[in-house]
Amino acid sequence: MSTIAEPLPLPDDAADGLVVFDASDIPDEPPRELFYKHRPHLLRSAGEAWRHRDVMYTLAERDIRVTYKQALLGLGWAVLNPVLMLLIFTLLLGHETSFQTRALNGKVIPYALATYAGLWGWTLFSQSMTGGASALVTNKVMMAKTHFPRECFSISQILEGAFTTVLCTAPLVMLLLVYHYTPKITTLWVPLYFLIEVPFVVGVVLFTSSAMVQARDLLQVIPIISQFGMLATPVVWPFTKMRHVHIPGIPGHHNLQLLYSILNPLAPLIDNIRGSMLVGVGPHWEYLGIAAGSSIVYMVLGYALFKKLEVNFADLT
Amino acid sequence: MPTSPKGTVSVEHVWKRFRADRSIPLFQEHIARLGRRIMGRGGSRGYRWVLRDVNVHVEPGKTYGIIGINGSGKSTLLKMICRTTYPTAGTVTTVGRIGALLDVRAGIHPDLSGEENIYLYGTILGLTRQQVNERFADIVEFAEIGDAVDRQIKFYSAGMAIRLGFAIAAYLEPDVLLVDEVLAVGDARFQQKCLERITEVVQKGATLFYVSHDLPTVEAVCEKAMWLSGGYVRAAGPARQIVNLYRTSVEQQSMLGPAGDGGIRVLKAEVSGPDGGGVRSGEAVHLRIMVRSPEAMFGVFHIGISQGTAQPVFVQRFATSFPDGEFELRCRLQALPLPKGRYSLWGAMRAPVGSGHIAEFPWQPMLSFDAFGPDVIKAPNGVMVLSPVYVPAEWELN
Repeated sequence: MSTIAEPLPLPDDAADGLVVFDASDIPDEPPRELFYKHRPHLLRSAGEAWRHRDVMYTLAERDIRVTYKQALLGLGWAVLNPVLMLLIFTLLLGHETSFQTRALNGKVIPYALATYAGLWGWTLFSQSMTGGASALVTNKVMMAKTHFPRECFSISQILEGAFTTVLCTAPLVMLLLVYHYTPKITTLWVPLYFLIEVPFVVGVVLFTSSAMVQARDLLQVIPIISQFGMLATPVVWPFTKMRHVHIPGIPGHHNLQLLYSILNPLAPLIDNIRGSMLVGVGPHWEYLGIAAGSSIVYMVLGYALFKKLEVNFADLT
Repeated sequence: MPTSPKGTVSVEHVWKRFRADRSIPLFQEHIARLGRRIMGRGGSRGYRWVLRDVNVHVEPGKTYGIIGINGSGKSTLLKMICRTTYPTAGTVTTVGRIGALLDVRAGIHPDLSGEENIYLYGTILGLTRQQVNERFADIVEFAEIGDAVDRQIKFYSAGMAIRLGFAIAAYLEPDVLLVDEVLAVGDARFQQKCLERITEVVQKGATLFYVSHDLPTVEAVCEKAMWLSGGYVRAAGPARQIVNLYRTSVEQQSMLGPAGDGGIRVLKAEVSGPDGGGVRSGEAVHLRIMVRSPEAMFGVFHIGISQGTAQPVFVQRFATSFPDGEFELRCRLQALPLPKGRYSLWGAMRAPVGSGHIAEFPWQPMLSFDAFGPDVIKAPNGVMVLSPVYVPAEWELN
């Protein structure tokens, strides 16, 4: 069979800009100085993310629409989780006296109310973390198409968590009505506590969502963290319990409130939410300060990890 | 380079590698590798370079095609221009808003309605609600989805979803439009519509990157092109020449490849012009094909002339009783209807199914030749010519 094995013929009019390259001219590896070095600047990145806040709102809006679109209960699902939790804890532990602290005017705070206040403060964290952890993995299609800062995906989940938290005030109001309990004037401090909670949530969400891209095992771990965390945080028990902790092997009781506030800034925050709303005490500035500091450290660490890992997001999801 | 005008795309010495094994290593594999490293047996993982030293610079308002076989790195390069993935080495600069059609349904969210999708993408591309409103009617009209715009995408037909996806990307006024092999899915009329829209967007000053295996559309849409092969730029320049080079290479590869041996062999094939010399447009062509068959059969010999691919411009057939052993086939084409260019002659021979003869000559290229004559006439901008045919014509203006 006659085949023509001549070299690639160049068209007659090869002159106008046609360049043919030879593979053997290309080295096996790029020269060292050409390698891309990912050196994210946290402040600059944060500014960039802030400029894309519209995108975050839009993503959150999309997710909220999608979540509730074909659901029969609609928005009711959002409050179902804390309400069910409340039912269980009230039925099982409602008779316990641990929560029967008196408000400043001497009135006893109903157990259900004290517990729900804790669950309410916990909702922002748990909802954001559950959604945020898989934010990058579930959005891989959109991630392949758009190039806005990747943290928008994760942070939009916090907006969704905030939305759920707002919805969860409805059962709170109902409980207040049922128990004829008037919230204290110090309730006005509550937004501040949530504000301090936000950096912590941002840090945790950025951490978990970027780690999830590297290791999908985290998907299994998130519900465990969420359950364990709720029990480890003074959601259904008073923070004052931390004042008298008995550590096996060490004699006596220890006040771990300060130490614990550093590790888990949610602890003093939830305690403050309950205290200001139901008891009528103002902010515990000492613990709030610690919580705020710790919260910001969590955020910076989470953001730093996120930015370091973001190079691989598109290739790994 | 913030000084470059919007729509500029600059790719400088870009390299990209992927782990040879794309799966995420398990924890125990990490441990095992660490162990190997400690034992001093080299723990480097296997990498595969998918792009090697790629350079492109495209000014706003220009069109650029990228062609190459599957796995040559075309899509990876587009992803990097889209800034969704980082180069391993080198720099990629894309100035302005990017509209990407990288995947048929990419980014169209199935649970949202058409309308919600349009606004979602508008915001993500950096448009205000007002700006999206202005373009909303155009998008719906172009996508031909009508009332379905209120319906969730998952209830759309595949065609509707693709049309909407294209309309969103093409009407939200990107500075850089990236199109990867999506037009091939629509029907012919929609394809033409998309090509017209692309031309319009480009005329307004957008830059187009177009990746396709469909060479006629690349020729129709792009001014310049590059041919990627094994991750490096094999050639770059005017689109038409790149496409021709690529065609020639595909043809040569299929000739050098193992032609499925069905028993019948073509020993020699010749193409010549009317006087035994070169082949010219509009003139007679003589073909001589020497065949050796292990069995005598009543069968059909097909020939076809193509631009290198397996799809011929035209086909001829000859059915007769072929003897066994060697024989020579001669064919005279009355007038060659092809413009100037490089073509290949394909052939196949087999007996009808059920005749009991198993010997065959599968469809494969036999040789390639150059035809001399007038250049192919270029279609208006954005219109593709499927295969070049030379038709003598006379014009009159009354």
